Amino acid sequence: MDRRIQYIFLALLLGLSNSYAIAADENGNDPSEIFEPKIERQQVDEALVDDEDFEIGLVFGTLGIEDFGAAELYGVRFNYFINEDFFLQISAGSAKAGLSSAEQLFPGNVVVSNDKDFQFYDLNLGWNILPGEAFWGEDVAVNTSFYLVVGAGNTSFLDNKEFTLTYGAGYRALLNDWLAFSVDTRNHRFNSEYPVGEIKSTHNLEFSFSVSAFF
Amino acid sequence: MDKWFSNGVKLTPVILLGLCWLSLSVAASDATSDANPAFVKQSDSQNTSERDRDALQSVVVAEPFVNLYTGPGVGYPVFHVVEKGEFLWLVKRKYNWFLVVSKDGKEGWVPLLDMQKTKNHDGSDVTFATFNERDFTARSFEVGVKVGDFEGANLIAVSGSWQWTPNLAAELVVGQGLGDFSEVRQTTIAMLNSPWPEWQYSPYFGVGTGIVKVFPSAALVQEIDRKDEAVFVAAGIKRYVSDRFLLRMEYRKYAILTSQPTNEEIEEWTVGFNIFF
Repeated sequence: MDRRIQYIFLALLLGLSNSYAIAADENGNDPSEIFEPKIERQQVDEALVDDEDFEIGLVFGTLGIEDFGAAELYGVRFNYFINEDFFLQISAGSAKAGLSSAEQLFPGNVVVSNDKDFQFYDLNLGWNILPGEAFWGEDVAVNTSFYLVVGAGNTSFLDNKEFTLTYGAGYRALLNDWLAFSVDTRNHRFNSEYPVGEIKSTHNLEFSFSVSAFF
Repeated sequence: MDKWFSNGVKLTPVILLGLCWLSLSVAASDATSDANPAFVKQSDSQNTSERDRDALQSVVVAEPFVNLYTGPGVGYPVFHVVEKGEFLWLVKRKYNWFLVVSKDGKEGWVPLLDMQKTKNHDGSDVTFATFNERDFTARSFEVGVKVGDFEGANLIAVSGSWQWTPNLAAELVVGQGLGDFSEVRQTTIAMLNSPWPEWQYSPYFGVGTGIVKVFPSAALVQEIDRKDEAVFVAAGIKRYVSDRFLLRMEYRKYAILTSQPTNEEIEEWTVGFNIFF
């Protein structure tokens, strides 16, 4: 009998404590809200560390189009840094070609093509061959890199698409830890049948500046 | 607008001036705020950080010391040393380098190998993703570029693949071939099997199918565009280089399923590099 009474009391107590606990929850007196310990995270969560392996930039400069004079060049460039030494680069750009020498000599008599938009894309491998620092006066040093790029791509010009080899060198200065300024020189080399139908190799030299952001 | 763009003489100085101003103003603002590691100060009293360390995660140095470099590369000078037992607050990671802030506010770069020797607050080992040859065999994705020869046309292609098991992978390739008389575009999928993934030069074999489109060059008016299905067999070799980087060489033999009585056979050789994740 005693046991039974004990059970009943215990059951009642249990029920009460539960309902108190529920009531406490409803009142917002959650223990964790009363006391918020300022404990630092015990283990580093790598996902919370910001990764910056990509660079995207706008390019402008001059493109010397063989036999068509020099033209302004606009483009975009995307880099993925594999490590401190190497990066992959996708670059694309466009320039509007001027008149060829034949067109200038015989205006109206030479039909070349109406497609004077020199458009290209290329995939390159870049090598930061000489990383370093450059100094601005006494107080400021910027991280820099002299790099080489080599790659291949496609050039669309004069109604033709030509397989194009690209190679060149550039210099990048990091203005801060996410913004960079670069100067690039590179050759876009492809075979063309212009002007006399004979296949010859053309060299189109690019000199460009770019402003880019790391992310 | 058009006048401006057509006149190179006018626009280029404007852009150059703008750039100079931009770089100068960024340099000046950073020089004054001194919040930036890229602008490493010459004197030792500087090179400090104004970052809010409460917002950053930290680790404890467990080796006798850790070097802080001025830039993310082994060639950059070491300008500060953090001793055993001190905290390093993590700002960001750039490939295999970490930008960290020390207790006394120095901001510099630490290589991944050194970061892996630090400890968590509870004394456990810190784990950071690494990319080495062992990770290569456990990779799950690859993206890459390749160039080569597609029956006389110069081919440029990008590829992406999913490693299903250590041996089996599914790969998608989109390519453009530029020949003297035509342009070829190919989109293919393949199932690749590498029987010995742990080998240094790991060979692989595969079969696949796809679409090959041929656009004759503008000069050849009598030709018309063609779009054909193709099946192919492939064989190649992959070689791990370093980090997330591998080289590959591949041969493919296509049977182009043309509408003509006979099918066309085409050989393709490519070399390229892939990055794995």
